[in-house]
Amino acid sequence: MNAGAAFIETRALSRRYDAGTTRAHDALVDVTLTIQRGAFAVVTGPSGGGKTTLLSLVGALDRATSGQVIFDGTDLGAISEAERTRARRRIGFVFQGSPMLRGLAAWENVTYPLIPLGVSARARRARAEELLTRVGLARMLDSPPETASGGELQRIGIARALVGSPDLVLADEPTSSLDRRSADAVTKLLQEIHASGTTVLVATHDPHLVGLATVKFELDDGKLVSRSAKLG
Amino acid sequence: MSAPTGTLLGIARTGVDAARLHPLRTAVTVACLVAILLPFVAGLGVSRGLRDQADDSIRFGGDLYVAGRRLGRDVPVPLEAVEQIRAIHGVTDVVPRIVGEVRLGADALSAVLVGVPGGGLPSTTAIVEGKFFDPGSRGEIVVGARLAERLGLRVGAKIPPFHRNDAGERVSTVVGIFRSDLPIWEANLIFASLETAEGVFGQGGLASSLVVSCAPGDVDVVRRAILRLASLGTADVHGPLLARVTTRDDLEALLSRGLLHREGIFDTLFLLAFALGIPLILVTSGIGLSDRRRETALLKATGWQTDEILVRSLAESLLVSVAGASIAILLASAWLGALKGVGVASVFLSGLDAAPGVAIPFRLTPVPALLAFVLSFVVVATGSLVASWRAASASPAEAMR
Repeated sequence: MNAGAAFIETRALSRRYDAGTTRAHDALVDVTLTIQRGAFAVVTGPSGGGKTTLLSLVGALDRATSGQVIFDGTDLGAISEAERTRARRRIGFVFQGSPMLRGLAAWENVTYPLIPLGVSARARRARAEELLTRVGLARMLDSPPETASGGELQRIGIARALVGSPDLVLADEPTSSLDRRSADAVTKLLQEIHASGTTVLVATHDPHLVGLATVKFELDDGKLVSRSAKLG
Repeated sequence: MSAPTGTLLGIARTGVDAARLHPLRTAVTVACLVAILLPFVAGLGVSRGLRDQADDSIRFGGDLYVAGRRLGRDVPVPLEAVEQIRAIHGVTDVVPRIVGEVRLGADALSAVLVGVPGGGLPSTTAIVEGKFFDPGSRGEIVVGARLAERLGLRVGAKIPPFHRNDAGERVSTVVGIFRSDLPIWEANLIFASLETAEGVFGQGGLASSLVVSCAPGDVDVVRRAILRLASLGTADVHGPLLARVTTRDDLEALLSRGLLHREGIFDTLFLLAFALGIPLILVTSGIGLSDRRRETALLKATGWQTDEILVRSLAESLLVSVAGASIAILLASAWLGALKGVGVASVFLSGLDAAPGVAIPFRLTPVPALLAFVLSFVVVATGSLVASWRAASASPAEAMR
């Protein structure tokens, strides 16, 4: 691993939805950016500006129409689907609204990604307990996510994102639709994750999160309109 | 257990989650499977049960059945042929019997009167009320419990005008009632002495057929000897009466052909129903497709490979199939046992009502049960695998939108 090399790099990245139809629209147009290992990167911009699309492409959840995403030296567009899934195991996702498997306990949801890795149920439960304690929700270990509030759900989502000890955490609007207190708790967690050495990339409008950024990008209408880095 | 096997089992166990997380989808799919499999399992159960009983009847019956043959048709045999055949080397017993249809009661219920010498009743016939007719008696009959119930007959009841012929009207007396559900074809039987049956049909000195028992190993020799007889009894004005001999093997072959024919028709109808049911099951296993897409996308986004998702889906299908097939088999047992095969028994046994009212012989063998399970699995797995494959092949970002 080269400490000086970019951890994430996009080169002329574009994504067109419904290509070839009358509904075709460009969600991302020629976006080129780099994020260093250990950064707290924030993507801002108006709704529909391309933030979620950028996170999906960087997280190997989607394929670009053109351009490249280089993740830790690997071109995500040039590898097989199985290799992309393996790459995703190095990335923790905090999705908008934190979708969960309804009916399963919080600990099962948090550790579901570990099942294909052959981790035993006992070890998974112990890991979930550790992570739910870390996000302040140890009491919800056996509760189904349906009983959680929005803020609690987002924190369970963060615990799930951390379950595989990822190199990169992607968070899409993690504090939107949360009250200030819940949003602060989530912000604090992301700050702690970053402080532990994990690279964080957040799409947000929240000024509190933007204030934590070591590097900031602004997207508008799919185009990168500004970038700035905090010195020091 | 090796790590990959343990991992595979761990993934397969999540199939239970998949079934549990979508109770409506699971319940509807299982219900569809049961609706399709139940008649199939029940029908085959009856078919096998009948076959068992028929095999027993043949096994405990005679070695040879002798009838007369004229103009290419079976005709009665003169009783004097009994001693003629008994004299053949290797014959151990000859029992004449008269078998003919009679109509009873105001509704002209069809029944079969069997006249046999005293002591000639089938070993499976058990008297539940009264007694057997006395050997050589006239006018004494023994009826099946089911028939007695339908006609309101008790021991001592008279049946007028049971028969009317040149000798005038005669009344028969019920002297006994036998259990009429084992075997099933005894349900509409009436047993009487040979003399009573002769009187009923007004044809003395004749038997419908002769049941011949042979010494072990002599069956073929006896069969050939009977066929070589110049005439069964004394030749009459129509000339000699030739013999037609049916062996136990012939009966077994006839039985197999008959049952297999009915089973074949039943299987064909079932396959047609199953083929029509496939789209239904495909639709039901695809219920909540958008839920399945989102769930699959979430799994893929969190590091599940496509093949791991398919294993999970396969395990879910396996669980649903086992549940569907097991419920179908349990319900088939209840249908054939407690409900006495209403609607299905008459498919396999001519003359039986749709609601037979008597216990139906059935045997649920492992092969139809296994077949039911395999068919369920194939159909359910096809439906859910296609849906899962499509969901797993889509971009997780698209599926989660």
